[in-house]
Amino acid sequence: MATDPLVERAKRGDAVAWNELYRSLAPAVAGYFGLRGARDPDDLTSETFVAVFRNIGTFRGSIEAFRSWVFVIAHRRLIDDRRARGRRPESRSLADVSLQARDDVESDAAAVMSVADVKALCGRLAVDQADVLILRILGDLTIEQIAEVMGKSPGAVKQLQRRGLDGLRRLTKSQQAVPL
Amino acid sequence: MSPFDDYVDEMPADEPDDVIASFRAGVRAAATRMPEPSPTLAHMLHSGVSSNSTGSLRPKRSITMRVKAYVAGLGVAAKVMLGTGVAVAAATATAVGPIDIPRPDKHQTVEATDDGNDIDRRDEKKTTDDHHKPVLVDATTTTAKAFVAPEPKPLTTTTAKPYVAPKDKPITTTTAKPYVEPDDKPTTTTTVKVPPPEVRHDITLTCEPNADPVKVICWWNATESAEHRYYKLMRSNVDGSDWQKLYKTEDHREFADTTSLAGHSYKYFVYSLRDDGAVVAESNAVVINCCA
Repeated sequence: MATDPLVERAKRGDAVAWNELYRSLAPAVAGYFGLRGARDPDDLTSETFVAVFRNIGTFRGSIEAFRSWVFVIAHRRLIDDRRARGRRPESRSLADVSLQARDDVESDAAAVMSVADVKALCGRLAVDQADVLILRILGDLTIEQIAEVMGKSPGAVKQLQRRGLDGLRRLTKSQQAVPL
Repeated sequence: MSPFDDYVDEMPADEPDDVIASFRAGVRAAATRMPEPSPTLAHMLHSGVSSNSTGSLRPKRSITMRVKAYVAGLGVAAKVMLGTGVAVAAATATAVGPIDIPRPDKHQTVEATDDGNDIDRRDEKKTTDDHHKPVLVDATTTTAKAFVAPEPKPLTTTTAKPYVAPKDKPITTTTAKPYVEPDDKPTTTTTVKVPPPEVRHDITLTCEPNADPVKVICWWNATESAEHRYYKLMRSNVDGSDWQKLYKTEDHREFADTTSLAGHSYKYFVYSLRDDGAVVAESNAVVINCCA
C-alpha cells in the first residue's frame, strides 16, 4: 500500500508536514485523553506524538491508517496512565456534576452536552464502551480500526458500541441533570 | 454524517437521537483546543526531525567498555604481549621514579587511548603484525603512568558552599523557544544548557468555599520571578492523590473551581512556570472542605 504523500513528507523530516499532521490530530488526541480521565492530557498527547515521530519510519499506509495508528499509540499511553494511577477512570454521579468552567473547551450551545457531563456519563459506562464511543467520535475511526486500536475483534467492538449507546440513553433518561 | 451511521441499524428506531447528538457535540467540543506541546515535541515539530535521526540517541560506549571490547578481540599471543607491555611499563615507571600525574582536566589518558587505539577500526588492523605495533604499548604505558600513587597529603576538610551568582558575570538564562509555526526556511537549532531555576516561594494562595452554587474561589498574588511565563492552578485530594490541572493563565490570578464537590476536601496549589515548563515559583498549599 502506498504511503500518503503528507506522511511521506513527514517521514523525510519535513517540518511543515509534521505541523500539518499535528494540527489535524492533536486536538482529537488531547480530547480523547481528557474525556477518558487521563492525568495530564497535554503531556500524554506530547508523549504520543513523540512516539509517532520516533516510529514513523515503520509506518506504511493511507492518512486514515495513519490516524488509526496514532490512536493505537494514544490508547496504549492511556492504558499505561491508568495502570500508573492504579484505578479506572474517574466516575461521578451526574447529579454531582454541575456545569463546569473549563474556559478553553466549554460550549454555550444549548444542544451541546457540557464536557463535564460527557465525562460523567463516560465514567458511568463500562470503560471499553466509553473508549469505543469516544474513539468513534473523536478519532473518526471505523469499527475495524477501533478493533485494531483496542486489540479486540470487530464484532466485540460493535457490541460495545451498541451497549454504550444504550447506556447513554438509559443514563440520561434516569437522571435529568444533563441539559438537552 | 454520524460516526455511528455505518451501524445505524443497531439504534432503536423509536428513540429520539437527541441524546446521542448532544453527547456527540459535547465530545467534539472537548477536542477543539490545541494542546500545548512539550519542549521535546516542540523541538521536533520545529526541526521536523524524523525517525532516521533518532539513531544518534543511542548512548555512546564508555572508554572502559571500548578497551574491554578491544582486548576481547585480541588473540592469545597479543594478550601475552599486552601483559608483558604492562609489566615492562610498570617496571620502567618504578625505575624512573615518581611521574607527574596529568591533571584530570587534561584527560591525557583518555586522549592517548583514543588516539593510539582506534578501536572502532580494530577489525581492519587484525593482522599478526599489528599486535606487535607500538600503538598498543603506548596506551598501556599511559595507563601505567596514571596508576602511580601520589605523595600523601594531609587531609583537609572542605565545606560545600551554597551557590552564589558571580557579581561581575550575571547569569543569563536562555529559555526554550515556545512552539511557533515554522516557515519554509530551514532553521538551525542551538542547544543551550539552561540552568535549573531557583524556586521562589513568594506566591500566597487564598481559597474560599462557596455553598450556593458549590464552588471554590481561589486567588493569589503575582510572583516576582523575572522568568515567570504562566501560572498553573492545581488541585488534589487532601492525601495528595489525583492531581488535576484546573487552570493555566499568563497573568490572571483568580479562578472559580466549579468542579469541586460538596462534602469533599481538596488541596490547592499554584505554580509559576517559565517557558520550558520548569517551576520558578510555588505557593502555599490550601486545604478546603467543600463547601459549607
